Amino acid sequence: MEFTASFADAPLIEELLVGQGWSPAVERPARSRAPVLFSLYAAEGDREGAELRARLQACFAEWNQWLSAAVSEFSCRRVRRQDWAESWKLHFKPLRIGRRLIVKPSWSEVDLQGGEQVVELDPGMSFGTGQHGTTRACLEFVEQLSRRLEPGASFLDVGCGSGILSLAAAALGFCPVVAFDYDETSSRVARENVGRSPYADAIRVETADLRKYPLSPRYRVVAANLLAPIIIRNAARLHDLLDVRSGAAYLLVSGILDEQYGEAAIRMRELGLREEQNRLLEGWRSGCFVLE
Amino acid sequence: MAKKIVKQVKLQIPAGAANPAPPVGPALGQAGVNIMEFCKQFNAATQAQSGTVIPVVITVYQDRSFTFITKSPPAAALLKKAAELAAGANTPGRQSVGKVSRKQVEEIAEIKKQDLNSRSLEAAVRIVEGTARSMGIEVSNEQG
Repeated sequence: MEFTASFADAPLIEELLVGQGWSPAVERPARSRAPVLFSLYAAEGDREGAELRARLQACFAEWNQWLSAAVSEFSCRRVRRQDWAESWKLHFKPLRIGRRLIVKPSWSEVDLQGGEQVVELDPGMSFGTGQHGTTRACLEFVEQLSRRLEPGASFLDVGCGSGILSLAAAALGFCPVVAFDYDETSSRVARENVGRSPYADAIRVETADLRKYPLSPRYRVVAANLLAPIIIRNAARLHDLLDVRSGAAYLLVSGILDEQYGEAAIRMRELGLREEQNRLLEGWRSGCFVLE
Repeated sequence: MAKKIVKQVKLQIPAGAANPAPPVGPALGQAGVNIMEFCKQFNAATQAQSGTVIPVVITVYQDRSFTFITKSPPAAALLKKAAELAAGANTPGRQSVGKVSRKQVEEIAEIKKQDLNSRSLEAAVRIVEGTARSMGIEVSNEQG
């Protein structure tokens, strides 16, 4: 449901809508003092749209006395999910990561060089398309480690989002690969992405909470593309998930703003992890830590 | 050279919990903004304020890059806190559910005026009073 209001009335209308429990999107054009566009979203369906319109009309019948220009015209249009999903797709280009990995959307064609592995992933309703600096840095670390560790090294993807790191790990020879996310939508999307990939048998996706995640089995590589406070709070558990029985184990941490990285690195060092490298991409610093 | 602004979108999003569902997805997707990038940035910036709704203004540039700034809490949330209420009235304008003092309205207006183009306290007071009235919160003339 959309309506426009005068520039002067917009702040009051916004507060009034929020006071009624609505969550409006308020769009102001670049031209200053031009009319402001309000959008409210109802669940898909004619009845929901009609109910929203009726509630708005009732509210504005009361509110219009306080406005410089009455609001009475409401237009309803159906916003198809693919309308905005498609607009995002236009920004999704194939990514070459290191020497051996390409991440690409299903609609894009690439010429493969010798030894390159492809992960096909369409942007969906969960984080992790590889376009974000945090994910890209993790992908680079995974690609590098795949050339140093023996094939068949185990891999844990904590906060898997779309499952992109797990798909890359499986494509590059890590096995077994386990992925989990606290958010059920993310783990569902990851499961769907894994199910569509050639690596469905190699990757297990779970919905789980890192704070309660079992410490057995352990893994040669643990990737934690989360947020700094979560990484710092759970650093000991991430450390305890590393398996050093057959050689050095690696903890990849990401989702950390540059200014937060120092604190995370100190916490890792306190736990006996050594920083092997870090990468700064788009203001996010990611680290590869080793436990020997 | 300054980047050209195409539009500004203001949303109300729970701190640390932005996701691509409406209104974020449609509002930003139609503007060509990288929805996932915005959600991750917003969640990182607001995670410490978990449990509150944060108004956020996203500025979209011609190259579809964006910046955002968070604003003061909605007047409704500040009024509910001042009146010690869990919710506003179901029948706005006709049902009284609580009371705030003139001084409390002015304190809230002081916070809100930072977000207004005019920076006018008088305009902010009008907005807070209107919001209170619509929520069924009476403004008493006592100063305390």
